[in-house]
Amino acid sequence: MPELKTRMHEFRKEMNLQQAELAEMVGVRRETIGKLENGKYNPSLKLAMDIAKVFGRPVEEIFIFEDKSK
Amino acid sequence: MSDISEKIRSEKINENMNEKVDIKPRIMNENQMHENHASEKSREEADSKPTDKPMPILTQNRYSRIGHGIVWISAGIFEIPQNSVCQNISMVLFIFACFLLLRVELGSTESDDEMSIGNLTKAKALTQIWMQNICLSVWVIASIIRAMPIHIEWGNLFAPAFFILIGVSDLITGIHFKRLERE
Repeated sequence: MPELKTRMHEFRKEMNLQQAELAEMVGVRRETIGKLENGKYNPSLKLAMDIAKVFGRPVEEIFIFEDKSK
Repeated sequence: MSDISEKIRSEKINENMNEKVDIKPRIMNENQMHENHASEKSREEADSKPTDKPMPILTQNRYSRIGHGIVWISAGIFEIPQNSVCQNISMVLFIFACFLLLRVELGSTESDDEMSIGNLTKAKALTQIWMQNICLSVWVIASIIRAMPIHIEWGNLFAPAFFILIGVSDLITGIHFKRLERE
């Protein structure tokens, strides 16, 4: 089962954004951003695209699928 | 000798001057610290005002599902004895249940996002499984009691059972939602 890894925390720090600010920009709650960063929640395609737009990077650079079985 | 003493004096004056110059920024820094402290205090006060902040989703869940469920279960239990005092208490509890719902519906609340909607859907699915098992258990227990030589007015228990089941359903949804949000 592939696992979704995220570099959201890294990019958010680069842009000097708070979790609450990013949450407001993409229209979710701060808790959702926290869970996304900890890898406890898989975002919908729309949310992933919105986050990618905020960071100005492609989605696959922010969210990485890692297949542990390989 | 006089030249040397003059030199020493001038050096001392210079040192003092430097010290005086140094004192100013120190005072400025202290003033800035006071200002920062004051602004932090005012920010904390602004944050603690309950009117500005919309009600978080977990608080909404506490009121409209967990609290509401507990009140309905209590009201159902007070409906069982069939006396006026208990029925008045259950009436008060139903009014309180309405108040809990209205508080969430009419107040400013945090809007749902995709994670909370997903968690609520999961919580409701789990509640359905639980309710099926609870209803089956109640039916089995009722069948066993009916087989016993005990006389029970089943018709009187219909309304309390209805209220309790609604309460249990709300309570289970609320507990599952809370668990999923905190996981």
